[in-house]
Amino acid sequence: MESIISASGLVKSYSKFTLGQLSFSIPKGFSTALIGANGAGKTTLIDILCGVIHASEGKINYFGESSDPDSPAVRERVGYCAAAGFFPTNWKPKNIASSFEIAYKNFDREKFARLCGELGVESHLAKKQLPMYKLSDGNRMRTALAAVFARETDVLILDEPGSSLDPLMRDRLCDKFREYLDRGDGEKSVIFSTHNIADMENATDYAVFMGNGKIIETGFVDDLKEKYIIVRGDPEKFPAARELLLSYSSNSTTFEGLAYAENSEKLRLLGAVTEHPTLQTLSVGLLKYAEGKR
Amino acid sequence: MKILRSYKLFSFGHRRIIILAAWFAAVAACGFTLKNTAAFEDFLSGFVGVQHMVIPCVLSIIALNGTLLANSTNAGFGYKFFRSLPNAEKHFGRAVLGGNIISLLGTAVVAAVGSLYFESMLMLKFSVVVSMVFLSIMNFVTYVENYFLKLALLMLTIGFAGGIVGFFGEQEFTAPNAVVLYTLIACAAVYAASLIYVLMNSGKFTRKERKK
Repeated sequence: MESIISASGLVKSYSKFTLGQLSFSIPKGFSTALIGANGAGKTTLIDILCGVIHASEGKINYFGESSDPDSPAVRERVGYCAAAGFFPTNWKPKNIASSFEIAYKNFDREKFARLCGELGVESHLAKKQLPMYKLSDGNRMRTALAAVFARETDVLILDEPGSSLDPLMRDRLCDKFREYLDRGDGEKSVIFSTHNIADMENATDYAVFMGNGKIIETGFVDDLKEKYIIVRGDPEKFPAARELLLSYSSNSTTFEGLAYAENSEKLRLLGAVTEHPTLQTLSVGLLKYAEGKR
Repeated sequence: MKILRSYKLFSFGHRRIIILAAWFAAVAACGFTLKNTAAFEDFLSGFVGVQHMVIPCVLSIIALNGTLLANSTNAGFGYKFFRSLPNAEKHFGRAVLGGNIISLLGTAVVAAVGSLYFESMLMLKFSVVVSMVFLSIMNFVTYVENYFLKLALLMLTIGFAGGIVGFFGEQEFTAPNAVVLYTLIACAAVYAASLIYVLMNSGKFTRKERKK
């Protein structure tokens, strides 16, 4: 499968945290979610991919062509949006439109105005525009997303785009992802990070699970749902089932855990109930597993 | 044009520049009103002190420090946007140069406003010299990361600017033209060196910030 971005031996070292070594390949033409708990390294990875910070070691390949994250050609093709404080706080939509126009060849002012309308925020055409510091986190993110979507890009790399949005707007964002991918006809891709996958599940084709600066698991969501199972049962069955569980939680009335699907027969023989996970339950199970290995 | 566009990218400072322009206009209007009155002498001495304290410092802080902050991790807001742009380093270098041009224009405006009042051009040349010295200092401290040190240097700049004007106030009108000319040349050289320094290090600063 063709990849939009791939990395090998990627490391970023801080005094109290190290990301990596990471080696991965993000498939082209799909929506990829970077899923992990707070502090898992998602933002650091996105910052490296978008050239905000440089990796201490390792290489990244963009579009199968360039290995330079600072290459202007690469940056023209990447639509990036940070989680918070992406724009200076005193900027208004008109400043955002002007700066995008100065910085990028492929920014469409009219499209920006239209997208601002669709996302329910003021555009650069509004008579009275509020600066970013007067907007809520959600409206700041909507404005930033409108600006990013108003560019002609080949990949969107968005850091926690759904975290500050209300459920309705998250749903609309998922639709926007799908529209973007459909318009690309297999040539455009979306990469976004999240620690709450429940509302973004519809927009996720491929998942990269991260924990403690490492990649725990990667794969297409449908394949991962086949690879793992969710196990439930009565508490008296828990001691026997525990060895087969990757992660679990138990109380006096029930237990629940994550296991490999290949163990489903054994678990059923022990009297446990198994079912395919949702992306949300899979995420919780895998992140717990990563936490347990810490 | 590219320089102005890059400067605009980093600093949407129209309002500040308009306020400064309005201030100059008000000063010019006051000077005209007071000319040929007893209060004009006092106005002149006040004008000389304030212009040296305000112009190099305020303009430079707006033009250069703002630009720097936009690209620094310490700013907390906006730096990710600036660093992710195509040709981010080039834009930053051009914006720093744009900041210098705006500051120099400020000096030119002060000279123009001052020329309305002073019969001798010596005082104006002196103004330009002082402005260039302090613009040079601003350039040299642009990349100082320690805020306390930077603030201390800026305070010293402001204080010395007023102090020097007061100290030399008596002699400036009698200084020989040649001395003023040599001083101008020397200050221009220092300023050129500071400009080269600040531009040469703009890319290095950006790269260093990205490694943090």
